[in-house]
Amino acid sequence: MARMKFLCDAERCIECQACVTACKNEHEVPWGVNRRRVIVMNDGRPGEKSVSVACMHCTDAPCAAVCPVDCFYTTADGIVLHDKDLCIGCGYCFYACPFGAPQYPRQTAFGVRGKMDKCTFCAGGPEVAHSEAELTKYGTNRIAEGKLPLCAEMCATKALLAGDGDIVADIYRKRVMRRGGRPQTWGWQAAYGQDA
Amino acid sequence: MKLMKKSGASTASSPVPGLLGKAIGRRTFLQGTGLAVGGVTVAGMLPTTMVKKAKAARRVDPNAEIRRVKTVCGHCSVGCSTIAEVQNGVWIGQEPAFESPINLGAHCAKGAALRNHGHSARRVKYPMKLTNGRWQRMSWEDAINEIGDKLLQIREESGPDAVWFAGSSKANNEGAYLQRKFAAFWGSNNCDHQARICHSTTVAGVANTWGYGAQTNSYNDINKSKCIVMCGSNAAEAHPVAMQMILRSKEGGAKLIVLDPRFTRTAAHSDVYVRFRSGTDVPLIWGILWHVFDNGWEDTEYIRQRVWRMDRIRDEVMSNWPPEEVERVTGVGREALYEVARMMAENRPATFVWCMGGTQHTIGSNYVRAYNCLQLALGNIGVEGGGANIFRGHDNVQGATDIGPNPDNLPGYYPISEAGWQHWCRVWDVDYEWLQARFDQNEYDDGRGGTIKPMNTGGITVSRWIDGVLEQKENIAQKDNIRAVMFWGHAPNSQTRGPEMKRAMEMLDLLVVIDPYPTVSAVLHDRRDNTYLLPAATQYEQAGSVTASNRSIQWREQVVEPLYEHKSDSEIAYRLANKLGFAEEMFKHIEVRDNKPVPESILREINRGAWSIGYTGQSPERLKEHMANQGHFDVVSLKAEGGPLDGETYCLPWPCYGTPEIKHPGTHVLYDTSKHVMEGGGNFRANFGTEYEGENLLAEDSWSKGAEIQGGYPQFDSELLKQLGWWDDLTDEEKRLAEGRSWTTDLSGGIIRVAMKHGCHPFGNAKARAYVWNFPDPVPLHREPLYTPRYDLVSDYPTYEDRKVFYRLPTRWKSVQARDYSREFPLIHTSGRLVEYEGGGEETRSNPWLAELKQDMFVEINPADANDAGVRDGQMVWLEGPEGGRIRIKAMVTRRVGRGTVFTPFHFGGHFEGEDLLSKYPDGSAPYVRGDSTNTATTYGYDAVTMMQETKTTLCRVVPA
Amino acid sequence: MPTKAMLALVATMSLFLLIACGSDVTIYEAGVYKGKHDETATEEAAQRRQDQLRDRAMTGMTDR
Repeated sequence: MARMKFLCDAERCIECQACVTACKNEHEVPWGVNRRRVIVMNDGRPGEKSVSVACMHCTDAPCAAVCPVDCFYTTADGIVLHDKDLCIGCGYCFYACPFGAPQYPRQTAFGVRGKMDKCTFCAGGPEVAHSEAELTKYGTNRIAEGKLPLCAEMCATKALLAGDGDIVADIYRKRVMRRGGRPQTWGWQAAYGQDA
Repeated sequence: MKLMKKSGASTASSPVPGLLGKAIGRRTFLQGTGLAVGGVTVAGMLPTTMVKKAKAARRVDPNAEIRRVKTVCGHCSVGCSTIAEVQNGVWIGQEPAFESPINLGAHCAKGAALRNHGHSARRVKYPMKLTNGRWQRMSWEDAINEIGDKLLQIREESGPDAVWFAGSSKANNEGAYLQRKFAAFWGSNNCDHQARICHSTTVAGVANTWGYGAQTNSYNDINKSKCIVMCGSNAAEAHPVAMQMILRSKEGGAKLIVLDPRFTRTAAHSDVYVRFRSGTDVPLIWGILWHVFDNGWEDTEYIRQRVWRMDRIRDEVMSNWPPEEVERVTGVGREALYEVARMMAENRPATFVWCMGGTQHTIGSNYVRAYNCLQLALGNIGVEGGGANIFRGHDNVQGATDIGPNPDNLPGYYPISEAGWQHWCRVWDVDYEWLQARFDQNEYDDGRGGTIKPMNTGGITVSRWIDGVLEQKENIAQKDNIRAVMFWGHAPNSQTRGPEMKRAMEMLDLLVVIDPYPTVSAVLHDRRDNTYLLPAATQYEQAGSVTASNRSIQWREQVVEPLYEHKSDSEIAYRLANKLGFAEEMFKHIEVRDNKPVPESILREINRGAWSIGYTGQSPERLKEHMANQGHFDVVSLKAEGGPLDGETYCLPWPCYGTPEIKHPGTHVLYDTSKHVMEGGGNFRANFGTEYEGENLLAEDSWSKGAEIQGGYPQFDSELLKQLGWWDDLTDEEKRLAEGRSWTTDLSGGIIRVAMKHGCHPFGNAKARAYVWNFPDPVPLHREPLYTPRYDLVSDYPTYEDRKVFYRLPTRWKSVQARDYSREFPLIHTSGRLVEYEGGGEETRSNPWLAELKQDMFVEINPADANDAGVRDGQMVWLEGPEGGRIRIKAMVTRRVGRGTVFTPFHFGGHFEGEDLLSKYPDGSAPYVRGDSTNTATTYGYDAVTMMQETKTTLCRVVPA
Repeated sequence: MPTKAMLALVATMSLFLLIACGSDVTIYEAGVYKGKHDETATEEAAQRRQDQLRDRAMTGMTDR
């Protein structure tokens, strides 16, 4: 059985934010909630690198392990989803997540925590596929249609890859081989010397 | 509807912490603080509309059919296809077009957010006018009547040239063509568009060097490059999907060199990055070329065969630009430029990419020609993997340049001399005398000691329209000042000298804004009357063709009907022409249905006239067939392999010579002698005669594959065909139309057909000119910017003398440079793009998916300069220009800019000198994000060939606000 | 007697109660999903889409 994975190739990521707006577009994620973000290291300096980060759909998901109401489940192909009707918005999963993926949309003007929201790998949630309920609570369900997450499908440079982990790894490995097995950005030699 | 509701009135919150919300880098710098400051207004205006619209847009009916419509992104010139899913007339989904050989489904932030255009609430919803300072709704009929009456009154009093209008590089080819035709039939050359302030210096520079004013190769062809040099191009933000090809090429072993005053995101991916002082590209390139000549790396055989007067360049470089002098002027040392030269020499072919960083200067046309000379010296032009890969800006800026509203030429770059007008009058089937009578019949100073009629002299440019209003009437080489301005798809905040523009707008008798969004033109001024907003449809609400930077002409299908009361550019042109009384002549051979000109019919008229650049073979039928078979085209060669289009190049990049019937395959790589002309091969154009000062200008021992004339030859005309004994290859009908004509004016296309039958290029076969005698500097020279931080260099490298008449206006160089501002204004102020926004930014700042990502106008400032100015990261500052304009923006302290240089993005607007103009927008149509425009603080300065504005090198100071 | 009868009753009741505690009684199990069933999360659903998703990856994720 396939296991769905994301992989972001930092050599190709140009921090263009297509993944972010593709996600907004596909699921109509409201202003202030970011299921996906681009993170930059060494901004404006040699060695500048960026990667696109969202829920990584962990095999042994810490969010699920700590959830007091057990609202998380994993699909047979490895996508971590949750039931928003059960979620109490406690934020415990946010403590546990190494990537800061869970988001808590504000519900009122006074900042009471809402139910948790996160990347669904474009696989909707525990509602009838393509129903109004699924669309409004979780967004679209591309996976059920045989399509992959739109963020990766629209990535400007094909830096962000999504799909069966084996296929993703295969595509990435070929690319690394083609590059001669090492990063290719300016600053590498400066940092580690010509022979690095 | 939980998710949607939560976007409610509470969005003025700080972002969630953690990796996904933590402040790292430029985004979060702006985002975190932005939400606290700028977010207040956002919260006030965003939620209700967005939630309602989002719901409305997404009611998916399981039983209704979903239509898949292929269109092309309307942001930059890469030309990314996308698939729109439409149900019951609503754009409900956006899918990647994997089969497009240009983008393979990919998009940048803007392209991935296109669907918002299908339900945006921030548009101008219906025609409006200012009545005593308040926006009032009106009907289209009333608007056209009122505007038309005022235009006719101004024409009566001040002549046709008192009306000036900006057309648009965002219109489809058909709309842009009608904009030019509209100006012609109105009787004026006073029209212009974004190309003036985008790549006009490129177009003039490269066309005068080797033939055509366009990108020679393509984004895809970069896959074949061994070395990619990018100078003044930040593709990672301005052309993100182009980076897909660049990074693929790099993975295949190509070297990536970035030359830029700013360590851009593109530079972050480079093998070699060279930082230099803004405004010194000529010495920088001469510094590279010095090493090329010094080491004998030039391609001597290529130069002998195909380049004229490279020796003059060599003399300038070797005598005046040794490494020490290059370092003194640019700040770049010997070793760095040796390394660049060596890398280019050892990794051939090298491609050279430049963008606005190389064009928007007072000597931009010199920069462009310096780049050309470097590439010619290395033999890199006319080869796959090489070339001058000029990335154009807007989605259709190439097309609008080719056949759109230019003040100094006619569609297809036909001159505004009598011969050019005669040609188009034949195509349009109108009487030349009738058209001529539409123009002002007086003659005015031509700036060269004679006089000239306005019909034959270039109109006022978009960079200078404000001076057409503000200048003393007696100093302008036309009948009267500009009294009416129409912004037909053009943002004003992309033009320099904001405070003067505000004044100019206030002096106008009539201001008309035709645009999907209100734009800064609606709010910058304090006008109270005689100001109109007409809602124009977006590219997704009309069908038509669009020319990508690589000259491929893609076809857009109409995704949805125009929202609200929007109308297409061509319909607006038709309605206005009708009111003004020339619709019958203007649309004589264009099919109009229900006031809507049919785009296919307009394209066929373009096909019938634009022979000179091969816009003739791309019939709507051929283009649509290419769009339907995208998957057949190879990603590297853009050539179809098998299938119905076997051997053709994707979307028939111009030149696609002759009639559609002769099936020219389009030209992927210009001037490539290794291919037959009927396979897209070519050579440099013979556009400047056959000799100059006794020297031969035609190619020597070089010709395109299969040419029956083995050597140089002039452009084809009926006489040449007769001399060659090829006249009888024409049919009788062709002979009748071709007699006495050249290949560009023969409406039968017969001369072109016969020339190509014999393997020859219709435009002749000449050498590229390294020495352009008709430019102010025949050999490109360095001249210090008008506002230079190195005033000590002005005596060695002074600018030009002032001119009394240039594009109808007095134009200053020396008198501006006469004063040293560098003490009071010690920082170089340069500007550029952000990936989330485009152009003046109104459209993109009105898209919440984009606007959320960049909520504040900012200035990048080096830590040293920040400390000198007493400014901390995130603090509000005043950036003040030497002409008095000042902007209140946020400081971003970063090493991305070097010491002494600050950078601002140019997409912001809606604030003026610190004041939010929100209350001036029509209700509900203000963009989500507003900010002070960089061009409020920019300064005077224009290129001496094209009137390009200087936006990349001026001065400023930064003080805490 | 009444005591005996009471005991018998209690015993009967207890037995009844014990019987009522069958295998279908809810006992809290930590870490087990408590939410609604998702039809598209099942083994069968994943099997069904596997080939389609592989093709999609080969089309959309590779460089072509």
